[in-house]
Amino acid sequence: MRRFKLVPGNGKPYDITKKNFEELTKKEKPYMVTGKDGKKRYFGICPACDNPVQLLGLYKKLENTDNPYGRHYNRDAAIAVHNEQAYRFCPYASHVYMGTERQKKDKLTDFERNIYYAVRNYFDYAIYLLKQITGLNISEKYAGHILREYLAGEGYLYYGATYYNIPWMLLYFCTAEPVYRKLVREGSPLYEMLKERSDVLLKPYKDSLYYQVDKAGNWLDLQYSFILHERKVVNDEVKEEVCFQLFSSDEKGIPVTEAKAVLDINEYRFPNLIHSEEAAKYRHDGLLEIAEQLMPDLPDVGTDRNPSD
Amino acid sequence: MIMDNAENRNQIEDMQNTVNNDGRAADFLPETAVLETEVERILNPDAEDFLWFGLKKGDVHFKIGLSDILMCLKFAEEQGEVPKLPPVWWTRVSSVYPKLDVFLND
Repeated sequence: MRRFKLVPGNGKPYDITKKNFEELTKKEKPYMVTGKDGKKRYFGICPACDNPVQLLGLYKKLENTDNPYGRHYNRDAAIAVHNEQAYRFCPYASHVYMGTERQKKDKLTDFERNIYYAVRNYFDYAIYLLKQITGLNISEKYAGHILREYLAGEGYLYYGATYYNIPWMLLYFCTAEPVYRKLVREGSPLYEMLKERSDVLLKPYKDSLYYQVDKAGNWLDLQYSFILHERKVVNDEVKEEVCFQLFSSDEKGIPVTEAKAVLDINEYRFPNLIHSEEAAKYRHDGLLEIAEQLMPDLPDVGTDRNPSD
Repeated sequence: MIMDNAENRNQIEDMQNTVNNDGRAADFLPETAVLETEVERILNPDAEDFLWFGLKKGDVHFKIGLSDILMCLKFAEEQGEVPKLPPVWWTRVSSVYPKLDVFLND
């Protein structure tokens, strides 16, 4: 199927596109979850039978079609319980979409391998830049979480992945995170979004440059994510960006945008940092060890693999 | 997270096995610790728990984090010991307490 809904019932169906998925779900759970196998899966609701639908081809080109599509998940998912009877009578339960994609294979070429190894070798630089870009304090633990998310989403196989956009792509493959208890730098985009809110308290954190996000009273329903990665040519110049979103949710659990900021992806910033004279200053053994641990060597070139998406 | 999830899952399976294989008389009560009134809130950005509840057994004092209590609640819900909470509630909570992902992710 080519359309999905956010919630069961009379919800509006949307075309299954990367843009729609990200704008509408903000990459929040349970739309974006990591499975037992450590792989990311993307979910919506079937427009016809209200069953969970796995969205395929959002980030990697499928072998059999150029467009992403939805396939009935045929078992319970966090987003909805599988209803066998509804499924059997669903007009989209056509054999056309069944049983052919589970075994599809991708080639891992030198290009993807090199991006993977660049992430591993320069993870410390990437995290340093991310702290600058987002204004978030990224501890070793949080950095490890970001890397696991990136690997679960197989970000290095994403068709928009390049060497220079590695820092931004690390964020782009993360499921939404709550702002609660995060540390933000004064003046950063997130700080500006939060400072006037009545549901948020920003508390100076120890003797650092950071403020810790606390709730003003009730449960703090605020999360952030990085969505809508786009590359376009404007006046013969490449313009690449990703959108930083702050969002809450309505009574049905559907995400509602509270604030957003477009982050420009500068194609020189990351390579310049790596090759700068001061680069040695930003090396971080702890982060490199994390990358080493989480990212084993890849199989040899040309080895077939079974992707999750 | 992957490792954590596997550990959490084992914990849940162990709990289920304990319930299912319990051959003792149903009214045989276990030894318990007593809940103390003191609750600590520690907002460490890297911690998975922020609320800590005091327990006491004899002279021994110790703490249990809210995420473990939520795990127990989820377990009780699945056993039908408490009414079901809306799935949206659990996904909200799991965004802050990732331990609960074990129930969300297939």
